[in-house]
Amino acid sequence: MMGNPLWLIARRSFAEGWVRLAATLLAALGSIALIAGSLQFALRAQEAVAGGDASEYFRADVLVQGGTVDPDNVYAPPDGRIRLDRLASRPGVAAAAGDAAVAVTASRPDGQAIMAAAEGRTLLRPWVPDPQLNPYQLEAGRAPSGDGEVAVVRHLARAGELSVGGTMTLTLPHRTQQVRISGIVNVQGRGAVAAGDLVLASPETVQRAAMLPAGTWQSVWLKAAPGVPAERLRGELARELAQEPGGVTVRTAESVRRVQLATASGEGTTIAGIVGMLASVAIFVGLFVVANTFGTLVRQRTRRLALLGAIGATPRQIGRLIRLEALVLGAIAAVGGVAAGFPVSELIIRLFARDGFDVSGSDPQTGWIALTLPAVAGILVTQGAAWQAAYRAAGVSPVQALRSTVAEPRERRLPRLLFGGAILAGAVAWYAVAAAIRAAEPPGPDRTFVIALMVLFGSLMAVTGLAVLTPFFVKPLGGLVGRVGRLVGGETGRLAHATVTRSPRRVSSAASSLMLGVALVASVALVTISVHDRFREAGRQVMAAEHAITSTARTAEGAPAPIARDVAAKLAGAPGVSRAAVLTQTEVTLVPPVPDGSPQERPEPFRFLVSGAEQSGLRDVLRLGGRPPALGTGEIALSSAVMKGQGLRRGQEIVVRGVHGRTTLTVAGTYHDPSHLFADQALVAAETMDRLDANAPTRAVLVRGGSTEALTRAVAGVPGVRVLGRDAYVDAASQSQTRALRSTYVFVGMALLLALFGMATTVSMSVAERTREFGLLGAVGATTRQIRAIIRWEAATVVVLGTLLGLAIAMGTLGLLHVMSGSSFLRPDPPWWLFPLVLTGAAVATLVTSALPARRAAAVPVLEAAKAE
Amino acid sequence: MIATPAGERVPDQVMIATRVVKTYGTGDSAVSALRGVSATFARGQFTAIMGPSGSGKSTFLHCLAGLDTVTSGTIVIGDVDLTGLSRTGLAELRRDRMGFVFQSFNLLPILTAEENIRLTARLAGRQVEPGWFDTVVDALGLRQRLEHRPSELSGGQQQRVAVARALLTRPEVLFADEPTGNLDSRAGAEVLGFLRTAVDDHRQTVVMVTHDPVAAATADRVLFLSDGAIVDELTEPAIDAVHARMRKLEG
Repeated sequence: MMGNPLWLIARRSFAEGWVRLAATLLAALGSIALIAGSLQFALRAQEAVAGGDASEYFRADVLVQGGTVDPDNVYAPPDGRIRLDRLASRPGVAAAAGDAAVAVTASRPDGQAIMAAAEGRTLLRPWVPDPQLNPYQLEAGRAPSGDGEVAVVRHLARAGELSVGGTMTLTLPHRTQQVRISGIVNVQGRGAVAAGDLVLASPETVQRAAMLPAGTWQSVWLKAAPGVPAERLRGELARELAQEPGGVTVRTAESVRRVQLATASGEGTTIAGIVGMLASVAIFVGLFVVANTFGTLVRQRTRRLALLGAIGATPRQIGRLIRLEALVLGAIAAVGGVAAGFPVSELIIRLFARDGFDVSGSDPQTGWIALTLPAVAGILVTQGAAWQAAYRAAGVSPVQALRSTVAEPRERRLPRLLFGGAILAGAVAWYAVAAAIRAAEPPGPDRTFVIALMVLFGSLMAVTGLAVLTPFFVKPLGGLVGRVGRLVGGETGRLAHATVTRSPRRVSSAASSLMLGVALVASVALVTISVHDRFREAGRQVMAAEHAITSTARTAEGAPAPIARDVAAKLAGAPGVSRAAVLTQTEVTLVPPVPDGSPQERPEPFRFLVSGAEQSGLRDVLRLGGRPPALGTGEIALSSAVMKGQGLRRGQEIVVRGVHGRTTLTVAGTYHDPSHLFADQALVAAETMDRLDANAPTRAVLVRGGSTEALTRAVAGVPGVRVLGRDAYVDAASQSQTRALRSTYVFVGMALLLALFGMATTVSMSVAERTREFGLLGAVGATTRQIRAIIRWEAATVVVLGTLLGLAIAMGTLGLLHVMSGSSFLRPDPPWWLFPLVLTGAAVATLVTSALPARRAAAVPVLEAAKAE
Repeated sequence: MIATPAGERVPDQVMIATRVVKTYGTGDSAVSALRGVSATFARGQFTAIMGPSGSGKSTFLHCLAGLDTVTSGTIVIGDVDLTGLSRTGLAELRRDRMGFVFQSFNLLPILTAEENIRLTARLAGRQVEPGWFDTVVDALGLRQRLEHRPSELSGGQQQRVAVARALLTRPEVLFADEPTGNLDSRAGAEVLGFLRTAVDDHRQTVVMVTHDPVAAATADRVLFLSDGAIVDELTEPAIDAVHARMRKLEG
């Protein structure tokens, strides 16, 4: 009739103590909400990036692309040209349409740039008139005709609040143009395609913008004649066109669609991975907080557990009791956390959208993965966290029920030392893995990322290990605080000293929550400050120009979007300007120098970014390290990292494949861009850039001389551009490099909140635990003020201990990152004000979390205190 | 050897303690709480253990009940030597064969009186014959209090609930550690009356530690401990005789 007694006790204990556990419940709930929110975000990002399976190639059968095409990168433009008329009249071809794509920035009439869907870009492409091939379904208006008209996909229209008949601004590589919206389209019912948003203009307009000779295209879409299978048409064309100069790639539209899909899901997986990693920090904090409170809970319940043991509950039953209580907590937190995951994901989506990665167009996911996975994770986390507490509870001796006071029993130091030491050894093992990777792998962003990950794991373990060892630090520190307390507060200081040093575990559980919070915040702050300072320092060193003209819009990575190249001309006449240099950039592939005998051993093609700039007077605007020589046409200077990584030497001839096909260049010199912002990998003269990619996007125009006002006046007529000073431009340009860092802010913020919840629980529990003690103090004449002072002195110990350990972890982590990655961007060189700031923050947090319980404890009537439990 | 004089062995012995030694600490700082205590406890016998503060009487009870470990010696209950049992084995032994009434903090505050009474049996997963529960509850006058939480009960009622819990599993030995220590004399007398009834009516074996001669006089015999050893024994004790022995012990 009463069921399982353990279940009954667990339920009642929870019902009785849930107010005290509320903060823990919130912490567990918050951590599950973060898991659920991250998962939700990852799933929605995946959906948004995949764009469903909408493909602009769904009506075409065969694609003929000029030159060679990277088979795995569907979005890299073909590097050759193809004449439409050579294909249209071939047998087996029912219809043909030319295609080309030019990356553009679309802005609303008020100048606000319109972000493309998800990770995508905005592309200018030709309208396809032939109904057999046209994938664009008009929802409103009509097809574009003439130079100033475009049709846009639904996502763009919605995001930019555009309607048929309205206008928008298109920033093309060489100029900026006002266009009128003639129609709004969808592709297979979707508002965008996998590549991003599309702006469709008349074929002639696109041809001009893409700088294609009349009659030629980057690629041609073909519809096979009735009865001709796509594969057969592909085979025939591939054979017949094999001798074309510059080469031709013939693929079935089907295979391109497959690659598109694979690319999209790959990108989704990458994003999910990053978000998952951040969520794992949330899981860790949840684990930490719940473990901490359950430890306190068991300490507080010692007498009850001992009584149960005395009247016949086996150690296993007592352990199970604690786990059942954790199950109740976990179940409630799981339900609440999954529900709270939806607003959390909304918040994450909004924050990422602000940075240029917008997935808000996708629908909330309510599949079983989105709902069950976080709930199961939450229950596992709470169970895992309660494990140690349950073990400890099972070890409570029945005799403890018979003692009139529950003092913290003296525990043996060795097991704790060994356990803490083992965890620290685990942390060292992670660091060792990082060191091994450093030794074995070639340098580069991939290596830095993996090393950073290993160091992060190691530091999380170090936090855990230090949390286990915290009680050992309490005594000496408590002694110090007690001495200060006695000097300042007299008897209350003495009492506080006694309570601190006699219950080191109680103090240390609050301090370890604070340590975690401080470590998280300080690490992120240190890394942010270090990276920011280094960018600023290196930017000042490299950028000799005082101003840069750049876009108000941003790319999906968060850097300024390209601007039109003709802006430079407008600056020529501005007063005081001595030089205005256009900085362009394009991606090329290095063609392996020696034709490799064994095709199996073909290395991954090396793609790199080439920056282009007018060479005469370049040193007036850019001061690159290693002083590259003034480059002539056909010459390239490579950064030392590329030179070393590819095993190239000065004077060597290399072949690169760009948008306009293969180009042979001579390596004229080597240099170094410490800021990584202007010419990180390679540099060519403006004329060479025209041969590589005449449509290369302009990243910025660097200007020497002139005032901000004069420059602003000069570009006033150009929509979507702004004038930035040196520091401001370096800041804006470095945004794309610091994107990953910024995405950690929201997670660290929430993790901090969880840690504070945990601290609030442990502090309030430790005060409630001593109701009797405080009552007794009151009975022997301590005033309410004195009791509160005792609690405050204890809090001071917690603050000092938590802050010191947390800062040590943060500094250690950054120091290790610096040593391991060798990056000058990660230097443990914090500004002096960071320490008092963190200390103040920690003190405020501790005071806030302990103020309420202290007030309550001090107000407990003496008689009630004597009765308690 | 005072407790078990030769030739006087009672045939039905429930518990035998032989040369029980309990030492706290090691080396120079070692303190002996029990120095080789031996005693037998017969079925249906009510034994009181008395002694001055620090004589080791509570330690002896805790060791007998398997709540505390012994340094050497054996304690056999039924046919089991409990000094060789694991923690789990001890817990099972306690819930199957022993009952407990402590001086204070006997009940879980989160459970009702009835739930507290049934707790030991339920931890063991055992069914209690329905008649026995009613008999115990009615005998202790708890019928009207079954749904109350401990905080809603008087001290005497709380001790009666503890007695009911201890009796419900029909333990081979019921241990009581100063069961009347926190009660006024009337409530104390009531609780002692219930223990006496259990011995007389149901042949319950009771071992009780007390410092109160009046309580000790309820028992069938009194063992006197001093300095960790049994120094005297009194059968059919009268209050005055107990008083006299205690005065002698306390000097």
